[in-house]
Amino acid sequence: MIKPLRKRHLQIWSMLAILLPVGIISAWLAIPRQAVDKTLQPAHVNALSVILKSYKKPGAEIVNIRISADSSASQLEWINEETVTSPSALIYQKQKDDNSENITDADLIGRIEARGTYYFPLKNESKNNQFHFVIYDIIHHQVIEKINF
Amino acid sequence: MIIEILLVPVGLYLFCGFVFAIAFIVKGVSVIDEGAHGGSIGFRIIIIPGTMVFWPLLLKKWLRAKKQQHD
Amino acid sequence: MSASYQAVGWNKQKKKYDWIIFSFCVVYLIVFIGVTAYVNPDYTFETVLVRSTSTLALLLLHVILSIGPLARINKKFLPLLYNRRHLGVTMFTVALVHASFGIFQFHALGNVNPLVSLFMSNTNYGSLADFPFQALGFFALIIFFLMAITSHDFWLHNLGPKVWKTLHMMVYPAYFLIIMHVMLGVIQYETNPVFVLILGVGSSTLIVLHLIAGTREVKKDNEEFGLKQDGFVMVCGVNDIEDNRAKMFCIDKERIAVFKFERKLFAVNNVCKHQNGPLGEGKIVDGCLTCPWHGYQYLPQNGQSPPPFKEKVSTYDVKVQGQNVWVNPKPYPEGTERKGANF
Repeated sequence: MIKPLRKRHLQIWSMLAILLPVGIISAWLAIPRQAVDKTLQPAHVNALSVILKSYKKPGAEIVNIRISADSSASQLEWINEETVTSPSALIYQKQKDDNSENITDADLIGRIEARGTYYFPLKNESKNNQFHFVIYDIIHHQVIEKINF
Repeated sequence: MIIEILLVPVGLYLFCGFVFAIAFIVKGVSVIDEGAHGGSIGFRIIIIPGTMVFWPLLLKKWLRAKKQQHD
Repeated sequence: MSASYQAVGWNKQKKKYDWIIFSFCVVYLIVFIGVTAYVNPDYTFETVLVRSTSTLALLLLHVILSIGPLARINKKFLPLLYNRRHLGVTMFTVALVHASFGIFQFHALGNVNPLVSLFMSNTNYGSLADFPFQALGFFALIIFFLMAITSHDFWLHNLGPKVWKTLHMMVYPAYFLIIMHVMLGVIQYETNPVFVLILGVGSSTLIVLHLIAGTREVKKDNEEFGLKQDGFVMVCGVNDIEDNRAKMFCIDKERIAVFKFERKLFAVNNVCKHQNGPLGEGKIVDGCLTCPWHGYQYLPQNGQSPPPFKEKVSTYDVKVQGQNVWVNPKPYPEGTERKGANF
């Protein structure tokens, strides 16, 4: 090797010492993140152990109020036996059965659609162990079903 | 579609190179490089791809060497 | 050594090296294909071939690029340098198989010219994650192709050392293209960080080796010599040079190799006429200075290759005063006889 060539080698590798890490790291950062499946509800919700109350509409749904063994948490278990045919079906909980179709004061619990078992945590302690739910079609703005038990 | 337009002249260039390479390995190579005298057939074959690429340069060298022989 | 050209300059040692390279490649491919068939039996044969050849070529490229600096750092690696050319052609052949099967698998089955398809099927040149990485590999392959087809002394001689060397230094940009070809290609969906790690270790090793060897060499080239007298420069002590070996000194523009041979000192230009190899890193074999790169030989007293060869290098005056060696950096015409300096 001759002197200018030795110098050229060093220059090239000094440049590569910058370019290679920059190239590798930026290409690494550019790796697209895998699309994450956002499930409608957490996958690992387990049924609480004690069934407090039950309601059944044959051929449509079974509704259970479940609580934990120490009564510290309560849960709505919704077993959908048929797929909901309304474009949307939201479950609202009301404090009392007021016969109105108004849901502005109600708590949104969750959404049901396909057949299967759904679990939703319940916030509000129910007075007298009475439960009032409204299944509401938010697109057509109409009540699909009222459940009081 | 620049690629399509480029491929044709490149192919043509290499084809000319191939035609030149045949003449070059038979005759030209010994004219421009004395190391080729008594060089093996394997050597002549192995320089064909390079000749196809660098043929204008070798052609120039060949013509120059021929001219010198005449002078 | 301007003897007649042969297709491949094989000798016993080179044949042995080539057998090692060949066997390694075959064993590597068999093991890769075997392991893949066991672990991922649903991969097609083309996919396995594309992947096995790509990893093999990448591995060989890293070995090739590390030989240069390794040989400068430790002379034990010189035999590898001697055989680097064959390794390079092997790497190109493996890469060509990879490219051919890749183009066949992804571009040859449509109604568009495969080469056009290679460039036109993905035109996201502005995106990193979707970058048409195959184009990068293609350009690197063109560089490797030009290097492979000119890997014969005929081309070194007829293109001239400057053009030839420039062409072969294109291996560095090609290496960058290959790394990006891998990073923007397979790494974008084979996202196991191990692959990035391996690639990172590979390229940082090369960077470190080249920077160490390069800085050492450039530092040596810039060494200043303090004592000057009648055109002579004091370079070292007599005992600093081993018998039948040399030390190199860059006094003016180029290095001068001062050899110790049969109780005398001789100085010649360090640059071998063949491929600019460093004569001063070689030793004296059968009374001739022997270039460590390809074994070209010169007589120490006149810098001429022994007949029938015709290469010549410049010679210089050397003298010994006390225990110190003095060299006059003014070159004599190539092949000029000098009587050397007794000590």
